[in-house]
Amino acid sequence: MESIRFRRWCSLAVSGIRYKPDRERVYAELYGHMEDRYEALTEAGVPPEEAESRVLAAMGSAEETSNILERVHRPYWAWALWAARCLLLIALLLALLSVPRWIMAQDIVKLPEGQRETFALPYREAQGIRDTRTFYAKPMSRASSDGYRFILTCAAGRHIECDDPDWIEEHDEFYLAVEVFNLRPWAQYSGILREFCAVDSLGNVYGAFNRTPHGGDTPLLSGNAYRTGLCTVTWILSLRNFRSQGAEWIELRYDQGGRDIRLCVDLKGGGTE
Amino acid sequence: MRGVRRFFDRIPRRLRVAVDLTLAAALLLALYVAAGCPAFGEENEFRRAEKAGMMGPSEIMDWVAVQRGWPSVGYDRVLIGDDGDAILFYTYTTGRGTSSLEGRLLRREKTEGLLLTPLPCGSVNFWQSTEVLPLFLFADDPDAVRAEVLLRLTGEETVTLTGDRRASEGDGSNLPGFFYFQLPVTGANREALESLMSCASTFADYGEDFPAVIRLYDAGDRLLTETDYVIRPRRRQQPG
Repeated sequence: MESIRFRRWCSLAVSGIRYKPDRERVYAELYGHMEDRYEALTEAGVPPEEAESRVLAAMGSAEETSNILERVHRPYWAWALWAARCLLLIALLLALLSVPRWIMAQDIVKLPEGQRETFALPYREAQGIRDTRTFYAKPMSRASSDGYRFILTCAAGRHIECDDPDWIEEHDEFYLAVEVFNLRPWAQYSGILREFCAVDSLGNVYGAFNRTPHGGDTPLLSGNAYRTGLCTVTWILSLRNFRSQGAEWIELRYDQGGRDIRLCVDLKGGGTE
Repeated sequence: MRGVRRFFDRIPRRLRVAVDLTLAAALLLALYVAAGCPAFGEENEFRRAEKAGMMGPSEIMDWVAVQRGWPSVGYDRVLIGDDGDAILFYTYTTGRGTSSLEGRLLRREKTEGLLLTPLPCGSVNFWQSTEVLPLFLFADDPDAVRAEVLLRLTGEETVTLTGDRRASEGDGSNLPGFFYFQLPVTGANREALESLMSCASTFADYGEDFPAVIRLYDAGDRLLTETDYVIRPRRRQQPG
């Protein structure tokens, strides 16, 4: 049933609601309510015009209703919701454009399990090089500083012999694996382990890669980093020109800028393969 | 669909605003990480580089703009900090092209209160005769207002550089112990200066040593100290 009087009353009653969707919803509710009452009266035998008048009288003053509805239906949260949805939509679009590409660009590698495989040198077997008397030390030394967490996970020493001594002389090698964890994304590619040096119980010093001349028979701590997790980089380090045979421990050290970080490898009581 | 809409309409608006804002914040955070976590500002980049390199915290004392040589265009800005034991240099590149030292924080330790080093701007390529090599001197003597450096470039050639203590911008007060020099490039010293420039790099261990004599003068032009010093590549500065 279409009633111009009802429509006029409802329009006036919702005129104070500033947020249009709320205004339309409340208009529809009020009009539906008035229609229901009108139908109930006409079914009870009341003439249509009188039923209209009774419904309008029962609804009361449109101006007063408008004032009440204006106080109840403040637009601020509605506008805030609209703005939040716009922001969410923009953020979603931008993220869909950038985040998948970032995820695919992460070159996270999975290093082989096991200590032997971690330090594997595949070319050696093919070229007549043998490693004998591989010795595994007991590390799991930990340290932390400046948001970094260092874990020395494994260490191994080996003796290398070669069928062709003119190509590679018989010598000893020592390797360490250090996991570096840092929650800060911009610190993931720091070359901080290249500032570490190594010292053994015999007093030998293996210089830091960034602070020691390379080449010759200078003892040196060197290595490469592999991104093994979103927040983790694993360094495979080697002690070049190894001369710690008979030492009881080897320690990685960083002592610049007032810091004192030590990661110790206990060479006693380890096991052979 | 209508049922879903009715369900969401029943949730209070405040809660829906909070949920939407939280989701938007999470997505923007993911976007920030995907963009490489930009630092927004040179000082923030400097502090980040300190944390990443486990250096500092230092006090940022000065910054220097060094014009880059052809074919690069623009300036390198070098932020200089002092952590008490060493001077930290952070190179921030502007303009076109890149520098191998961009975003690198280099720490140079003082030797008995002195540090003489090329500024690590990395962009001087000596292709033009108007180029200069910038040198930095730190002297931990509060009375020194003028410095003179006698730098031996080759076996025969020694250059004399003089400079006054640098005044900081703003209040115009003098920075403690900061002196800057410019070493002009000539055809004869080009090779020596390239070797000297490499001393500013983290990775160089080749090249020669450059002996120098550093003289400090007070406000009355009286000689305070005269010290022998050697500029050498970082990898040969100290073992271990």
